[in-house]
Amino acid sequence: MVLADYLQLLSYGIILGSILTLGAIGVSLIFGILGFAHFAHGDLMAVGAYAALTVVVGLNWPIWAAFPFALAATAVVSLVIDQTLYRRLRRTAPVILLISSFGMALILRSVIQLVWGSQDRVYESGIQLPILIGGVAIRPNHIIIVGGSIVLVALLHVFLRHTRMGKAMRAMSDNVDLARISGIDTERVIIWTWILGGALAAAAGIFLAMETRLHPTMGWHMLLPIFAAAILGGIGRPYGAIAGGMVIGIAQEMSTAFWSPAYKPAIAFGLMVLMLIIRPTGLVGARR
Amino acid sequence: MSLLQVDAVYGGYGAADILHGADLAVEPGQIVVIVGPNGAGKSTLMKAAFGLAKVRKGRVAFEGREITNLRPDQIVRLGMSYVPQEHNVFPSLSVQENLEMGAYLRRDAGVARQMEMVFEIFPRLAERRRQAAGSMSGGERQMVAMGRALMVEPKLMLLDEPTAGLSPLFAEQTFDRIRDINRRGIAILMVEQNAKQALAIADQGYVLAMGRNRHGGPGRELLADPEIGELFLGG
Amino acid sequence: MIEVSGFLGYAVFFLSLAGIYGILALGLNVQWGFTGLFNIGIAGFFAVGAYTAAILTTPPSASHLGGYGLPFLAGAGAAMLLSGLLAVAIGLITLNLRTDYLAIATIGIAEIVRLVFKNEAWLTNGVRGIPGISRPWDAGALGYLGVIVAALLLVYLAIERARRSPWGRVLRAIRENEPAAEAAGKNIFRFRLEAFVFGSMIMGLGGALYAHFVGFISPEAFEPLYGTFLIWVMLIAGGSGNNRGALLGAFLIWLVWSATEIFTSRLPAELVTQAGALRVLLIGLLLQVILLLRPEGLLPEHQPKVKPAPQSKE
Ligand SMILES: Nc1ncnc2c1ncn2[C@@H]1O[C@H](COP(=O)(O)OP(=O)(O)OP(=O)(O)O)[C@@H](O)[C@H]1O
Ligand SMILES: [Mg+2]
Repeated sequence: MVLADYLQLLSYGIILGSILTLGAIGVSLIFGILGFAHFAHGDLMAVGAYAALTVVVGLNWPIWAAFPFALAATAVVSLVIDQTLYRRLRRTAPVILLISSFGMALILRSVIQLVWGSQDRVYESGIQLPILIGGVAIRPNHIIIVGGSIVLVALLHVFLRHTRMGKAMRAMSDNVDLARISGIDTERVIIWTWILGGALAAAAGIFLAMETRLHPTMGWHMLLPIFAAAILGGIGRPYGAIAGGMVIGIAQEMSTAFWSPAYKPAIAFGLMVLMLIIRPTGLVGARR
Repeated sequence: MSLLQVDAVYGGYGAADILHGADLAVEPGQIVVIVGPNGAGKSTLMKAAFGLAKVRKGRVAFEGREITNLRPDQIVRLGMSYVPQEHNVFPSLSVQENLEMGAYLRRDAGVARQMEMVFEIFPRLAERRRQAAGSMSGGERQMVAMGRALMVEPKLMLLDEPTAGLSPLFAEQTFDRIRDINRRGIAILMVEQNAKQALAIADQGYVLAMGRNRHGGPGRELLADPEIGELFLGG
Repeated sequence: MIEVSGFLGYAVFFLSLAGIYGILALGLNVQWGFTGLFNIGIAGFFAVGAYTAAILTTPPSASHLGGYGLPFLAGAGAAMLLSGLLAVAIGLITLNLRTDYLAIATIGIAEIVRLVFKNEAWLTNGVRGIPGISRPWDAGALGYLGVIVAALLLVYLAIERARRSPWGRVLRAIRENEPAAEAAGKNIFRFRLEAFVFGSMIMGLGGALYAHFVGFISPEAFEPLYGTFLIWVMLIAGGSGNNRGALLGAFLIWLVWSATEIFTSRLPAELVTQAGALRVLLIGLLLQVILLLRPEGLLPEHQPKVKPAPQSKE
């Protein structure tokens, strides 16, 4: 392999990393605020991807026009799941939420399969011509994915740093009891967490579908890398998730130069395990 | 009418009561100190007053209004704030953000003014307003915690062992700050292990043991009482 | 050799799988019910057990490692051993962290086990799978049901005994109140590891029994999620912490699952491909309903009424 080949893999890694980052941020936010690992998050990504497909096919809209609709729809789905199910289970142990979200993952996946069947789908058929930059082939979709992720992360940053609700979210993620004592309405913070987590998951799902294809199991297969990314970044810390997502994405793609691509998930797992051994609190920060 | 009135409160966290008929009163502008042996229920009494522990029997009133078992955020609105003993700052938030969270319930223009007042009391916080609270020393963190609780412009502030784990010098300074705050008209109810120092600045003191009051009286009287000195203040 | 057919044949088939699921549910009960360890990689341990038994007991083959033609009991023993070793590796890394990490790690292990079995053809013949795994002792279907029931009984008795032993009491103490157990001088990590390994070995045994039951295994057969999920629903429905509950749950949920298959197989042809999804959806909803309405399950774990008060985070 020559340098250009590695750069090509690096570019794929950045694309995958962008997608993982969006998913991992949601997982991390939810973990920080609600204290449980949300196992339905991958399937929430699939919900977003299929919500966009519904608009693309149903209304014959281009994917960019379907994008905001799918984000909103997925945010609503997340909220409904939380308010009808998770909210009632919150009163018991957090680990019950873990089981429930595991079941929810399968429910979402089955509903997708019932509605859309289990064949592969794409938003638009036809091949995009790549542009060659320094021997690296880049398709317009790649630029949309990476650019879109950067915009979304920047928006999230502004929200978390500069709005009252965003700061309350970080506060609650730091210390729920103290947030309550300070008079923060924790139920509202939870609602916003699902709105953000759901919308970002939808964006990740749509980007993933643009890069590959739609399939009911697409989300489940992302669950391990997403959690690996969140753990690498120190779960509960949305900013760490960015670093974690990029590391996992790049590592997974670069590994294909040495190993069978079939073992990509194993790379994510290996990095996660390594992290759990040497530094369970993640790359940045100190939180269990 | 007392600012805070706790009458014969029984309660705790679960099936078994921790408090067995505790009484307490804080008058406007006073400093009131609770002392007592470890595990006596001092923290629990404070939490019961603030809606964080369950009051099974008895009554808590703030400015004559019953607040028994209200939620903390409802109690904060009435003008009472609370600084827990531990984990009392948001570590990943900056000093300024910590203070903003203290004022979460307020949307009026007074917030900026109040923050200036906090910075006046704790000039050190002004210097470090952009620093993450988690990266500060124990003494500085205690300042952030008190600052956060001041942001609602409380009439009464509850402090749970504000000098725990601080060096004698820092503890001394913290007591000074507490008096400073009190001089601005804010009543203080605090639990303290440094009983002698705390009672020395207290208008009123209570000795709590086994979940109920054993003695009460002006701080200096309690200090002077040889029996109390022997039993609870380590001679 | 007696072969059975018709309704009786179906009943034997049904009960054999119910028995294997019962064993898996008991294994999960040791981990989750007794100890509070969250394993969603059951399929991984199950597959390791199944493949170990297959490779060791089949006659020599050019298409995969072995086979070594070893007796059934040797295969089953090795299946338990290897599943146990896998559990040791995972446990050493994750058991002193929050249970969420264990959950994620087990997802990862199950996935990697599946990938290895799918891609390492020299070992497992890849997607073409391993055929010709015969039942032991020339048993017929009915005879093998006897083997499964005997194994189930042994596992049940062993676990029930463990539950009543001081060891079992310590596990419960850890689950209920970790700080108190730690203060009492218990090595929490070691107890957790033992429970995790014990449960995983039972799952490995389940895998071995399964391999000999179906006679042919391939990575396809370990639809990793559905198997794992079904076992979780069985345990939660039956009553986690209660061994009889685990067995009752395994039987009932397997009944529901099989009944839905009978129902969905009558659907018009164009809907049949969707049937699997519909069944999973129903079971998923069933789980949520149980969690909401009867989280303790049909046969709750018997324990004294006074629970320790919930620890505040402070
Ligand atoms: N969250 C809780 N849940 C259950 N029991 C608790 C909780 N917090 C405290 N307790 C128990 O309540 C009793 C009184 O505790 P409390 O913290 O009120 O004592 P304290 O007087 O503040 O002691 P210290 O001087 O150590 O702070 C103790 O026996 C303690 O174990
Ligand atoms: Mg205390």
